[in-house]
Amino acid sequence: MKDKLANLGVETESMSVESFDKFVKDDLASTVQLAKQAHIEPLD
Amino acid sequence: MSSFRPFAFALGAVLLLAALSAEADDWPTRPIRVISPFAAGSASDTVSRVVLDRVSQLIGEPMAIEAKPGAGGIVGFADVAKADPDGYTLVTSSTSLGTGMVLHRNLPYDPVKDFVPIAMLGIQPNVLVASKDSGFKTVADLVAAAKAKPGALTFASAGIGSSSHMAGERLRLAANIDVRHVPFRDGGLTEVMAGRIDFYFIPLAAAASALGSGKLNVLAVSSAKRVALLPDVPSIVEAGYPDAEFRFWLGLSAPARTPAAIVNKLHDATEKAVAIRA
Repeated sequence: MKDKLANLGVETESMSVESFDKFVKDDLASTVQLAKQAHIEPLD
Repeated sequence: MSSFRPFAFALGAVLLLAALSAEADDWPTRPIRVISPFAAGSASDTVSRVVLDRVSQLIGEPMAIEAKPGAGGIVGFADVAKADPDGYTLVTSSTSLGTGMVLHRNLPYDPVKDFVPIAMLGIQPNVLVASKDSGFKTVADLVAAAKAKPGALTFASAGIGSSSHMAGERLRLAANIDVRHVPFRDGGLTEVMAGRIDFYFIPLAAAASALGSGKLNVLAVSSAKRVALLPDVPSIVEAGYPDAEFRFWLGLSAPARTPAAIVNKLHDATEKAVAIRA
């Protein structure tokens, strides 16, 4: 599976449920911050 | 009478919880529907099919992946947000949960409160490529040229909020350069190859065939570390811009309030599936 995913350009990373939950929340916050800094405006 | 109503309500809640818990213990007893909020053939769809095929073998029930594209993933995410939290409707979550928050003022769901993250399926970095004609062989070359001519360089993307756009913005801010974003419906790779656009953060999955064209210079991958597919290409961190790190992630999520027993079973099966070498 790892090799199959690597051929698709996808790297794997093991995370617990709690770690993945934190990863997702951090990513959402980081994306919102990036949008503010880069002045990316809502489309609607 | 008045003291009976709270008691009846509490009893009802306890019985409901007990029923959900019993159902979670037996889960799964029928096929599971997994919504991929992007088109068939997208990274979300392809990676889901590869990993979840193995997960379904491990949990003993089929997982039917249903591509439900629309409005940058909103249609699919909205569908799952309102589904019963019984473990039989899941969604391929991704970086697009965050970009949806940024690009739309009134989402029909809350990206944090309406979903419970289950497991990481994989991470796909982007590859920073420049047109051969640009002469840029390193990130330092590109940044030096951008600083020499503010506003002159352009970068392509597959649209506002796409991974190629967000990765480009991260580099723009991290390197403090004045470069112009030019979105293309098809990603604009041909424009970069032709030398009409200066650089592009192409998704790694699409990079392999494009790099064989001989019309691109590969400058870096957007992740913190090098990737197996391009072991000779430096990471953006090695190139000197740790704040420009960008990784498009794909995961599995369920509607909020899905019982923890189901979340844990799915998490363990997904981790096991992803870790299998062959």
